[in-house]
Amino acid sequence: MEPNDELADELRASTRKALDDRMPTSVLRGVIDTDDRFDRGLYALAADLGWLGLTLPESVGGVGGTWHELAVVIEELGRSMAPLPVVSSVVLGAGAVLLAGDDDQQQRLLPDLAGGRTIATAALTAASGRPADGLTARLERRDGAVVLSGVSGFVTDAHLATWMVVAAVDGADVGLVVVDAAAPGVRIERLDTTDVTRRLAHVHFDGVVIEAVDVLGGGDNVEMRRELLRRAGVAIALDSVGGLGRVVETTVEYVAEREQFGRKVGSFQAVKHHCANLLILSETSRVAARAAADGIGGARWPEWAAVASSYCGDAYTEATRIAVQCFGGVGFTWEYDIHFFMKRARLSQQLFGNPTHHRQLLVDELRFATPVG
Amino acid sequence: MFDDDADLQAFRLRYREFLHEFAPHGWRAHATTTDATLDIQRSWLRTLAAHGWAAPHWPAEYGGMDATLAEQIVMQQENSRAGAPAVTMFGMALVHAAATLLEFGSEEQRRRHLPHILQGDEIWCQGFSEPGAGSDLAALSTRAVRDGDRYIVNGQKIWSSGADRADRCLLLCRTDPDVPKHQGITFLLLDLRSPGIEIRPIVSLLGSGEFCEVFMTDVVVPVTDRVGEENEGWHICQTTLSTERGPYLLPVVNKLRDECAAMWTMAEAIGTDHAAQVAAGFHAEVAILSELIDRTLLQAAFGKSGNESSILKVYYSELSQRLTTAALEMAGLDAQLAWTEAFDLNSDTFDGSWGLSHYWSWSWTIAGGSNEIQRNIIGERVLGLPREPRPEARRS
Repeated sequence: MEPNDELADELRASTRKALDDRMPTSVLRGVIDTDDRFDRGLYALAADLGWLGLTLPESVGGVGGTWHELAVVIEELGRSMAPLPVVSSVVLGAGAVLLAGDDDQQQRLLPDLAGGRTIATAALTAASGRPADGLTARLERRDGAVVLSGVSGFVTDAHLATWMVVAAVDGADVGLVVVDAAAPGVRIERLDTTDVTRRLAHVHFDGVVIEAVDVLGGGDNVEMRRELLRRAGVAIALDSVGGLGRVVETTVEYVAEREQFGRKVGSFQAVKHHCANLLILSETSRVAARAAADGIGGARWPEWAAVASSYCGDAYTEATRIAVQCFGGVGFTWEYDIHFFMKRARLSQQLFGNPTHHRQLLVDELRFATPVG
Repeated sequence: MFDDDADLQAFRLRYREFLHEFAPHGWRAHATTTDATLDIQRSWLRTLAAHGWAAPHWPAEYGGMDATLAEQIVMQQENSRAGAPAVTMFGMALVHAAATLLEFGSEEQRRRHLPHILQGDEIWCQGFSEPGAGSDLAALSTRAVRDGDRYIVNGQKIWSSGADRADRCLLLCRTDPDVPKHQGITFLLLDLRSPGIEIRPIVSLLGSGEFCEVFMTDVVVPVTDRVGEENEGWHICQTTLSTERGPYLLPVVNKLRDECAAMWTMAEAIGTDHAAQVAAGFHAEVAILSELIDRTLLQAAFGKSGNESSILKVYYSELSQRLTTAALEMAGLDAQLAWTEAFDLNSDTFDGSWGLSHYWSWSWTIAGGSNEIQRNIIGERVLGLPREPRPEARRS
């Protein structure tokens, strides 16, 4: 990667400007009070600006870019905490169909997604939301038809989705199927999380009939699910990096203004050193998440995905602990924004696997890479 | 991170070929005392010099190669790969003294010292810190009084690594006590064989003597051994110190990687998920550190470096401390036994003693500007936070 990455810098500037204009926290506060937590107009803009088609091939209406650019958009979304289903649609929904779908399935589902006319997500985990737990949705054959039953837990943006890819137990294998969110038997149970900048849902399936054209995969579905979770983890890490950058900025801004004892509190070493620690957490996380995003598909990709996912989750959590401490009393109010980051960090730390889970994945990678003896 | 282009790959292969032919084997078994290690390093430095590889970062006209940062990194990587001896005892000469002379020294001074440094005939040490001037280096009080064409120096320096084996010393002295403290300091090149010098090793908490005190009583230093102008020393020593930001961290990362591998072996022997996950967590952080260094060096290569190196220093040193703390816990009472082997503290490999690595890590969190000072630098110079009020702007 070139250090003077003009294209990425331009994309970052335009993305940040759009989100600063359309989703400052004053607007965000209104959006999170609504049931959908969604700004349809901003999503249309996201499609116009090409965020949704960034990594999709041109044949389905995308621009054929790489994760290097997608990473920029995800970081900026994390920075603004804008509740837009970009990661759900692009990384999870489209990602699953690109990975496991055939040409017909891709042509049928992805152009509308790239154009912002549909929204997608993926339901990849059990009711607990933990990736290591056995799936609680299952596929059965009834009278020649494939039927989906059970539940997927803590699915991101399911309440907005037109369709979702569901991972379900299929005999001794894992099945990956496309489910229309409006199909009979699908019930979306919206969840109230402490992080109010996101909307998660448990998705219940009661005998949902799956058409043959909606069955994905057929290859190593277990590995495909694993790969999707890996990407989701890195997406969350990038989101955390964006959030960390903003946390450093706003905290430094605050302690450089706030006066006590006739001095700016940021001149006290106790506070200054907190801020230095924030920057160290932010810079190390940035390096980890970007190395992972730039290395997708490469020889060390699974290792770097686990590195970034485990490290950034802990770093964002710790950084927001420090930040709220630096804000002092006002940090404990709803009025100041810092608590939104604090809670987003803690949900991010758990979503698609917690740091211990990712360290275990890293253990598996290292065992695999280490020759015996 | 650094994918070699064709030129760099050719450079790498050329150096690898040289190492293959000339790098000594089995030298670690002979490096049982400091003197033996010194002999091994000097001999290797002379071999490097004979083939033009001794000082890649110097300009060619002084025997260097004008090597790019990427080329220097490649050489570090190949050194590690080949297990060649690192010339750590000549580091202060090859890096710090050379950088200072190349930027601020006179032509006569460069011609006088650089050829000897290249041949391993001059070992240098640093005389900056004093008992009363550690973190507050500019408060130093060693006096140099002008007397015609010479200075008369009186005072005491401390924490001078390897001064007991050094020939020369980069010395900071106070030449004007009546101006603000940063403005009255002069940079001298001290010949350690001059009369009036006494050098006493300090027994460190490791039980050995890496550091020394240097006592100076009416020591004569010719004015021709002054670097730059009188009272310009503070500015000059910033250059000396900033050379520590170069690729110097690459060998220590190599050592951390080595330690990670050793921890991994321990964790697998313990056999619990928790132990393996702890080891994996450190593996992740060492990978991040390595990536961070590459990116910082890359920025430096593009002239964007600065105080961000403080981030590296804090992160590296505290990672080393946390890693060895966890390793000691895993290793149990076996690792509480005293180390018996001789050791090279600057080695780029793990020598098997967790205690040694652990206790040595404090030299990194304290020396070269303690991590508290580094955090001030990050807060003030990187993040732009207001400085502490300085009631003592003038020296009392």
